[in-house]
Amino acid sequence: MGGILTHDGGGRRWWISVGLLGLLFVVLALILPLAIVVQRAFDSGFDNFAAALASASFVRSISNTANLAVTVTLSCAVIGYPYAYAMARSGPVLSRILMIALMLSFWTSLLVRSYAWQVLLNDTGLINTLLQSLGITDHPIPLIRTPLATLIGMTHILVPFTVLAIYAQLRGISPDLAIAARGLGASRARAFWSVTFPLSIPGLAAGALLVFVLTLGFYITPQLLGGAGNQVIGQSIVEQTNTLLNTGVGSAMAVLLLAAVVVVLAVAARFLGLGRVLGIATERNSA
Amino acid sequence: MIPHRIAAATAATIAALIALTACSSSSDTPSATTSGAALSGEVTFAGYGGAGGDAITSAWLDPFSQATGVDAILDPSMDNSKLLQMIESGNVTWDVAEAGLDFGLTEKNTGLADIDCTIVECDAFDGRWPVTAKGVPMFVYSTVVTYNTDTFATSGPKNWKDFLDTKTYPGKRAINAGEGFFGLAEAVLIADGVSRDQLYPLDIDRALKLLDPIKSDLIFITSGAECIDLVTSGEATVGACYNARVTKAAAEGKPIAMSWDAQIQSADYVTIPAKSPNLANAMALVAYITSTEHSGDLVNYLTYGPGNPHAKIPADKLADVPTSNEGEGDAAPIIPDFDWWNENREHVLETVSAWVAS
Repeated sequence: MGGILTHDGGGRRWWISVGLLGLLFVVLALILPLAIVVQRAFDSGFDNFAAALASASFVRSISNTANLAVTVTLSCAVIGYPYAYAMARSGPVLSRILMIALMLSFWTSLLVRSYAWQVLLNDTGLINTLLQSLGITDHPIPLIRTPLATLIGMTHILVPFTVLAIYAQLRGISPDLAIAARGLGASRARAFWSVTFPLSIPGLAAGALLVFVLTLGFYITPQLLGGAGNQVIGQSIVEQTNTLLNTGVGSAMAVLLLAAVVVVLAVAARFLGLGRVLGIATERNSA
Repeated sequence: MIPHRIAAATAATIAALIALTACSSSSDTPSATTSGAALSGEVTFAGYGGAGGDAITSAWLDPFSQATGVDAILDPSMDNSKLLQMIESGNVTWDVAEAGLDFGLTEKNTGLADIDCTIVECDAFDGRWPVTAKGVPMFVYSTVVTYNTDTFATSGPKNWKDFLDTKTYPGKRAINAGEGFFGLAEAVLIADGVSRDQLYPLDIDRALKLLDPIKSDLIFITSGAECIDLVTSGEATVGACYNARVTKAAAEGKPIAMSWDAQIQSADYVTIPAKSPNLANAMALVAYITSTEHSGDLVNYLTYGPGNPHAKIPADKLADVPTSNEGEGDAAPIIPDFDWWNENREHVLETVSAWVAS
């Protein structure tokens, strides 16, 4: 690790002074508040954790959140991969259009996008009105306040993360490799599945991991689109701190959430390597 | 491993930051003790924004600023956990907060300032909503049986019995599930024949059984605005909405109306964190908002009843204000017992959320 500090020949002191402002910010804005949360969680030994885990609604929210994280990750991967592939391999015009469309969505506030989905998915919203006027259904189908609505909204919000991670990986894989495979007689599909896809798996994994971890802590979108019966961990924490004024139990829930994220990252690090999980080694490894 | 100079600089920076925060919170305290002297400076009111925040600004904050020269500012980001956090950390930036009795406005809540009855007209609060050790009633609101007038014209549901009756009054019902059916549980139990003086301890299981038959018709909302949106769009035909929002939407020409029968009444209070940086201004603002003279001023902007029972209300607003439209007998207002709820909220929330999820 000492070698990295002097990577470009600068002294350690130089690098510390370059990083000091950011380090100070991280300490003051992240570590300090986090320490307070952890301390709150343990303010009466493990009682707060016991109370959190004794709450059936919290336990339900854990399984709801896990379900959501898995389904959102899968749908982001399924939608994101072909998109990233097209972006990486199509001509300059189409590739640019795809990138602009993605970034426009990415740059729009997630609050705005969640409300927009509310408007689309309402019983009297665009989708149901359309289905009814086409005679496909005579009653509005339940979309809003269902797990499906949360899944759709979350996928829309998080898919850019998957696309960008996969795109970065695909850009590092020379198209010549697939061409060579085809030259040796492989079909287009075979060339993709045997050559390009295996090489792109690290990008796919990194994108999926990012989406999975982000989903665990989401609050606004499930709150606006999901039903009251599908509470996620974020909503459980808000209920504890805001409605029940149990800061200690709410903090314990937050610590458990953080622990879950750390476990996911640790497991991923075993398979992908720590650098890739933290997003710092992508370029170097794929080059 | 970090060179000493940098470590020292970091320590100095942190020390300076701590000193700064310490200074800013202590420098204002002297002015807080000089009550009676002319007021100056500012006072921050923590409320909820939206139509309510606008109304509070127009009715009370701006006029208070003009009358006293104190700059009264609305911070619309009030929520219980944020207020609690400020009080516990001692880093208080709010002077007056809009809170409910669920925040615990009693003697026991030492993070809040005692209400000074030499400044606030405590004696005027001889009605249903008393002054507590730490809070003064700001306005009285009610949750009422609300319906879409395109669906029911003038023969809409009148009471909570009708609310439960989806045969006579078909369509979905918008109700708030986030507070464990606070008030609503009382309403359906009374509709089922439980006598009002035997409501508590509340039989939540029985209330849920009453809701069981219409469960698939319930839409669980999380905000007051959602209730109005659902009923006016017709997505729900009936709702349990806040009265002033219904009046406002109806005035805008939306197809919505309500019934005052068995209105579920509640009150929002004003309270002051003990470490308010502008304590004297805060107490003066609380006194102004809750005075007999001004408590009714909100009605001109938002039709919630005055917290002060002796306040006057303009004649043209009488028909829209909860406290002026209290029925009798079965139609009398339902007043949830906050002491019971504060004791049992956790258990009720668990029970209700399990029911909602099943």
